[in-house]
Amino acid sequence: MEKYIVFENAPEQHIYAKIIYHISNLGLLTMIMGFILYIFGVLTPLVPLEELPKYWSLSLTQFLEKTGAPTGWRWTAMLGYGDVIPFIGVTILASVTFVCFLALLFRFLQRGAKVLAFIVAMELFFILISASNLIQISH
Amino acid sequence: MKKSILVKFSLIPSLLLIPTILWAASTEISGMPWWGWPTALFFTTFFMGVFGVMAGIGGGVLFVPLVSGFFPFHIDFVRGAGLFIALGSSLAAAPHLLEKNLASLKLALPTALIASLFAIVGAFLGLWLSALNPVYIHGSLGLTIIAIVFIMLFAKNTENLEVSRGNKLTELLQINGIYTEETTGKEVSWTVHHTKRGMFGFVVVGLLAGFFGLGAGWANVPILNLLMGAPVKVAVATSSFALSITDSTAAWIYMNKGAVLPIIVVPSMVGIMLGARIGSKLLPKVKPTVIRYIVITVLLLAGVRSLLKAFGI
Repeated sequence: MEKYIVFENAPEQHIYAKIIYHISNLGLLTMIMGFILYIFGVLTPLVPLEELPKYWSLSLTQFLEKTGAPTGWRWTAMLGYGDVIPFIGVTILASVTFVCFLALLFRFLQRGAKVLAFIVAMELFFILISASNLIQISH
Repeated sequence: MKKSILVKFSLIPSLLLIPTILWAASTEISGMPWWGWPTALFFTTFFMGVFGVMAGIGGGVLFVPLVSGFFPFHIDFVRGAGLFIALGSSLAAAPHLLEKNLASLKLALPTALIASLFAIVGAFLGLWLSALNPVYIHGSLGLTIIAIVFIMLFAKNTENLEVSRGNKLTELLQINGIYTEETTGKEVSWTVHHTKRGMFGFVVVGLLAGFFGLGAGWANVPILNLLMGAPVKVAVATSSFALSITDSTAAWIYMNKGAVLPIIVVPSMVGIMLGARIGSKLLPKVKPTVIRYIVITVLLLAGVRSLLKAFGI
């Protein structure tokens, strides 16, 4: 006897949509506010704005050497600088998917959707690995 | 009618002029004040947003080739910004598409998992090659963009797909859904097939997204629609939504490596998002096919420019 497919959307779609909407708006707003503090000189930048054109065409390695710009999560200890403060908003935007997937994982586990929970757990692992800055490559 | 012709004819020359102006500017205006380039970037990305939406390709794919070709920023920073632009545009579109059941979470989860894993590989590979010599990136970007142009010209999406049953993998992953077709008011049930081959396609999508910082809607849609058999509306919407998952891993890597500069990312994101809103409002007043061919031509020019850069021309 042929098995029937039940066509349905994941009920979690709507929760996911709400989380994306609120957190991405928060991230965008925070990023723009940080950028305003930066370009209007409210907070002094690590690299003076007038000198930026000398550096932005350099390779990443040279840029980091000459400016001392932070890598990894070091920016969190440098929030007094104008060119670092927009990273709060950028980080919120980069974290939206992680927060959504965390909510999905709980939902899928609650309703026993093991395969979907496994996929979500894998994705969370990949995002965590990328965000942690633990993987390094040597040149 | 007159208004639509007016809009068309006022927009077309401005799009054609953008690369020319920028090319001239990048070679002649070296003494521009620091705010000149971010301002030019804002207006350029604004137009990318407008035309990207009208051409139905999104602005993300235009950003990296055009900005790396015609602006003075190093390609590493352009790729970092490109990922955030694709991420921001996807996050902006996703809530509406998910609420309407056009974007499917069940379709996006496995495909974006594969793509985001390979986006990590692509990001590291891209940053490593760029550190060796950025010429490799310019050259491969030029070739990829020219290939994308051909895909855009020849891959026609199709509405006439009827996948009544998937396969074992489709059923295991529960990839199916329902959406309401607004033009008819009918509910459309769908599932997909050729899931394994589709997943292989997302390996390539992820690699390219991480390597070049490109939004990958141009590749996602043909894979989801033509290969896997998802309805075109579901394919377009799911592709748009899935970019927020695919690009987030690579975006973190570029950010951790220091390749994200707020002076490039913020004006670009704001510009492209504003442009996309205007573009969606202008959409009913212009002929999308004409705009699409113009955007494809600009993309081809940007691809050729990348290739020329690789050869030091």
